[in-house]
Parts: sequence; C-alpha cells; structure tokens
Amino acid sequence: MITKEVKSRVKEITEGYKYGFSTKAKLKYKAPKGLNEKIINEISAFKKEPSWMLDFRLKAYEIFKQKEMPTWGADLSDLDFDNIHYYVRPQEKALNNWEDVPSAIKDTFEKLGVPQAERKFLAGSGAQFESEIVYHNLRKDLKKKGIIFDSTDNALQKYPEYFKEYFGKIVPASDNKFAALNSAVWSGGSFIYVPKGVKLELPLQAYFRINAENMGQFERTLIIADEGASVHYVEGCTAPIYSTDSLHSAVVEIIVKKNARVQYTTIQNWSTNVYNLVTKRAHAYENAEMFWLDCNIGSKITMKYPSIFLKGEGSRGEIQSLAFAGKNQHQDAGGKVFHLAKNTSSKVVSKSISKDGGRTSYRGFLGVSKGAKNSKCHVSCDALIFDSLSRSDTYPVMKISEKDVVIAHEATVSKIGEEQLFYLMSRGLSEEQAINMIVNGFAMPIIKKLPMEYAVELNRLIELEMTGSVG
Amino acid sequence: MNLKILSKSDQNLKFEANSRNFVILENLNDLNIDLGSDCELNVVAILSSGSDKIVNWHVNFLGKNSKSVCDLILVGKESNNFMINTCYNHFKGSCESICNVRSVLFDKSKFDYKGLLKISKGAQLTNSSLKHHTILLSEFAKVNTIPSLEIEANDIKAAHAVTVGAIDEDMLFYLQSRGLNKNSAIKLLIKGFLVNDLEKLQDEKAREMVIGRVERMIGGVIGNL
Repeated sequence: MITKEVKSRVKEITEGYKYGFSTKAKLKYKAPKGLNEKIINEISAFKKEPSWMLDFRLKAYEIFKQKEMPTWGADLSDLDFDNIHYYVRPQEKALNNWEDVPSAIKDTFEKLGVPQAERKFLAGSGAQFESEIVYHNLRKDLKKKGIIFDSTDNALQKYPEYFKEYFGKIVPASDNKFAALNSAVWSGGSFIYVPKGVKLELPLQAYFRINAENMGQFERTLIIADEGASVHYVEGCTAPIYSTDSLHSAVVEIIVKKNARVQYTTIQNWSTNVYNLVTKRAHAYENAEMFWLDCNIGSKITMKYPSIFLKGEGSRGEIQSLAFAGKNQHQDAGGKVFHLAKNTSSKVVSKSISKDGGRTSYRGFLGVSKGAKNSKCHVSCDALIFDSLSRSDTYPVMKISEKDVVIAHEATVSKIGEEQLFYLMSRGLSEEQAINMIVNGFAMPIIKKLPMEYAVELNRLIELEMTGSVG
Repeated sequence: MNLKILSKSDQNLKFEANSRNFVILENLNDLNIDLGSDCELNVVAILSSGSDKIVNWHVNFLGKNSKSVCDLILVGKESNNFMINTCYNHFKGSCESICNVRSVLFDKSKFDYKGLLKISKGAQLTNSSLKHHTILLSEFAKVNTIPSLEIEANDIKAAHAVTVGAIDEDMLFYLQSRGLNKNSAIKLLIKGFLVNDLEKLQDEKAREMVIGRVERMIGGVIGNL
C-alpha cells in the first residue's frame, strides 16, 4: 500500500529542487538593471546612512571598476554585471513579529521552515528577502545579557562605534573585485555582538532568499565575539529557478577576541542559476577559536574560501567544507589559514562529491609566517567522483617560513569502492540505497558537526541529489 | 634496464613501448618524457645546486599499462633557490605514477615546488600519487609547495600528501643517547629521510648507485655541519 509518506517522497524527488518557486510580492522599490553612482546614492539615501558610509561605498565602486576579474577559478565569462538589479526593497523596515510581515513574504519563509525553526531551537532569527532584512528577532532574555543581533543596516544606525572600528577592516574593499562590489552596494546581513564572558547555548540563524529575476544580493555580516564569549551562527539560502542568472556576493567579517569562540555554519542551497561569489574572513586572537562549517550544495558557480588569520598566541582554527556538484555546477571552494603567532593550530577537512558532469575544486592556502613557532596544521581533502563526465581538482598552496612546525596535508580522489558496494548489496540493500549509505558515510564527519536539525535536513538534501545515481 | 645520466641541457625523451629505463638527473634543466605503452621508467633527481630559473619536468603517459616512479632528492644550502614544476599527464588508462619529493633546506635556501597530477577522461584505472616531505633546518629556510590534482576520469586512484617540519627531537635524542654527537645524529637522520623511498627501487645495482650518490651529496653539502 502506498503511504502518504511515500507519496510525499515521490513528489519531492520528481519535483527536484523544491525551493525553486517564486513569490509575487509587492515591492517598495526595484532599481533598474546595471550599476552606477546614482543607484549607490539611492541605496544610501533609502537607508539614511551617515555620510562616511556613502563615501565608503563610492570609493569601493571606483575600486570595483578598476579591478580585473580573477584569472583563476571558475569560468565567470557569462556573468553580465549590466543585467543585474543591484537593489530591491520588499518593505519599509525589518519587523520583529512574523504576523506583521507581509503575507506573501511570510508564506515564502513558512514554506522554507524558517519560523518553525525559530520556534523550536533557535536563540534568534533573521530573514532576508531580496536586498533587505524583513524579519529579525532575538529572545528577550538574551537581549538583557547585552547580546546584539540585528540587521547590519539597523546596527549601523544604533551602534556606529563598532562599525567605525571594524567595518571593512577585516575584508577591505580593495581585497578583490567582489569584495569591492559588495562594499559598494551592500544591503542586509547580520550584525552580532556578544559581550565578554557571555556564551550563547542556542544558535542564531539568518535565512537569505532571492526572489526576483536577475537579482543581486549583497549582504554584509559583521560578528564580534568579545573576550570569553561564544556564539554559533547559522545561515541558509535558497532562490527560485529562473532561466537567467542571479548574483550573490556577500562579505562576512568576524572578530574573535581573546578566549572567545565563534562557529559560522552555512548551508548554501542556491538554485543552479545563481553565481555565488563570497569573501569570508575571521581574525582570531589569543586562545580564541574560529570554526567555519561550510556546506555547498546549490548554485551554478560558487567561489568561496573562508579564511582564518590566527593572530594571537594559542589561537585555533578549523574549516570543514562539504561541496556537492551536480550537472552544470562548479563548486570552487576550500579554505585559507594564516598562522601568524606561536602555538597556533588549525585543521582543514574538505569533502567533495561530483556527479553528472559536475566539477568540484578544492582551493586552499596555508601560510606559516616566520616566528609562528610550534604551529600545527593538518589538511585533509577527499573527493568522490561518480562518473567519467565529472571532474575533481585539488589546488592546495602551502607557504612555510618557520622551521619549528608540524604541517601535514593529504588528499585522495576516487570513486565509490566496488567492494563496499558489493558488501552492502549482499546484505539486502538495493544499489541506490547502498550508494546513498556510502555517500552519507563519506560526508558524515562534516555533517555530524551540524546541529541535529540541520544535519537531518542536509542528509535529506544530499539523498535527493543522489537520486538517479544508478543507471 | 637502460640507464641514462642526464646532466646537460634540456632533454626530450621518448620511450617506446615495452622499454625499461632508469634516468638520473643531477642538474636543473627542463625535461619532457613521453612514455609509450607497457613501459617502466625510474627517474631519480639528486640536486644540491640551485637556479634562478623555473624548471619544468613533464612525464606524459601516451600508452597504456606503463609505470613511472620519480624520486626527487634535494638539499638546499646558503642562498640556493630551487623552482621546480613537475607534471604527470595521464592520457591513457591503466598506468601508474609515483612521485616522491624529499627536500632538506639549510641556511637561507628556498624551494618552490608545484606538482600537478593530471588525469584525462580516457585514462581510466590510473593509479597516481604525489608526496612532498620537507625538513627545515634553519630559521630562514622556506618552502612553498602546491601539489595539485586535476581529475577527469572516475575509475581511478589519485592521492597526494605534504609534510613540513623540523628534525624529530625524539629521534635526535635517541641517537645521541646511543653515543652519537649531535651533528652525526643529524646527518644520519637526514640520510635516512632522503633515501627512504630509494630503498624501494627494485634494481639492486641502480639502488646502490643512487644511494651512494645521495650519500656523497650529503657529505659534500653538510660535511662541515
């Protein structure tokens, strides 16, 4: 007998990417396509920003125009900067209550499970629709502890002192062409400040949704964990399926002060018409710990290399990266670690899967500067390549200028083991079930680092991607 | 087994099917080797003099069922600079390539290494590995290494590994506790480190010859240590 669960599962599989719907939402403003100074002035005026921020944007725009496109990495030749809407405003301001959010937008996030997640297991939640945060909320008891969790736009108005000190300092506009673009047109994103000694037990979440066609989303996130603080931030993202391309170019800056800890988790599930070009960087000070957990399932092209500068003695960094590339996808991801002080340690684990002509590229950098004695780093990259149409690359760069170190890097590329497959099938599993189990086991070291609810969801997403692997 | 000792200018070598060859390199010059099918090739490079130019070594697997083992042994001293790119290009299937790079760097010497393992779509059942191990013996020695993989076939095995570190203090202490002075202990450990992969060479005469050359090189480079 076919149960409701089976029917729902079949529907899910046959409909593929289930987030590909779009919403007819009334917009307050939609900038025409293309980028110029007029649009940047309009963005700044809409947000009623201080003059120094407009100045920052305009200087960044000049840098963006001068910088060349990267000559390495994925093929960005089809990216048309003139065919993008750089700012779309869905409503007047961010709201604290889901009931107040316009129904079309609220329904979008209901379908995505965002309000439900907030109710069940989050300390706070933010939702960005197009260019602006539409909803933001932090539990009252946490506000009383002095924790700030707000949209970056609001925080700029309320807490300018943090922005003057940190904004654009970890990732300056001149860093690369897409950091310059983000610096010119940034909108939305999260600002988090955790005071000294405060440890958040539950994660904070932000969900990013592109809705319009030919949309550019440029959120800017700034996280400051003061001494002894601890916070876990999770972000998810999806977009409708269109035949034309969208662009997501975010910048994330994180400061982890002495003895603090920050975990930043991303579950990227953009539709396969989105260019995802992101700059993420953290500075970790004395005995601090920074952990990037980066899962890339979606997008047409992703270029993303979360990085950690271990600036303080005893600081630690960890990057866990999971990349899945299916048909017409290229996940060019990895991580960078810079050991700049003594007694620092880092670990990088990368797992990638490519099938149906997909391409995964691990691109990493490990630098140990002179004087960074007793640095330890271990990098491990494993790739599963399913068929002869797919491709896997590994480009790890290591620059070591200190002799008292222990550095190790290893990488393997292979297909699913025939013996493993045979063993599982001989125990009664179908070939598809056996493949799913092996892929699940392959990705498990990374997935198990996620909060349980996200781990379950990610397992499901990977299983969905694996459908049809047999035959 | 045909033995070739290369010490002159750029070389282009073509090894026909069913040949067995042993090539020894003692200078930094570009090298391109094309392998036919069912070939066996050993390359041992023993280097102690640097160069200002980038050196490119290519081994191209143009036929099936061939095997190549390359051991690159390098000792840098003073302000020696080494810039070496190796590329193993697998165009046909069922081939095996092993590339072992071992470097010991003193003083202000520097080694820039780019190692590429490239497996094309038609090269199924390839088995390929690249390892680079470095010991840094001075505050000013540097190593930059980029071991890369570009894989377009799925039924293959490809792996690479890199380690960088100083001499193991426990090993040093062990040897000194057996009566060796510190310098002798370091020399012994360096020798053991550098010849580790050479001891797997199957041809006994070739193995003894290259290990002897490595020992003489070590003696010449770090004789006054």
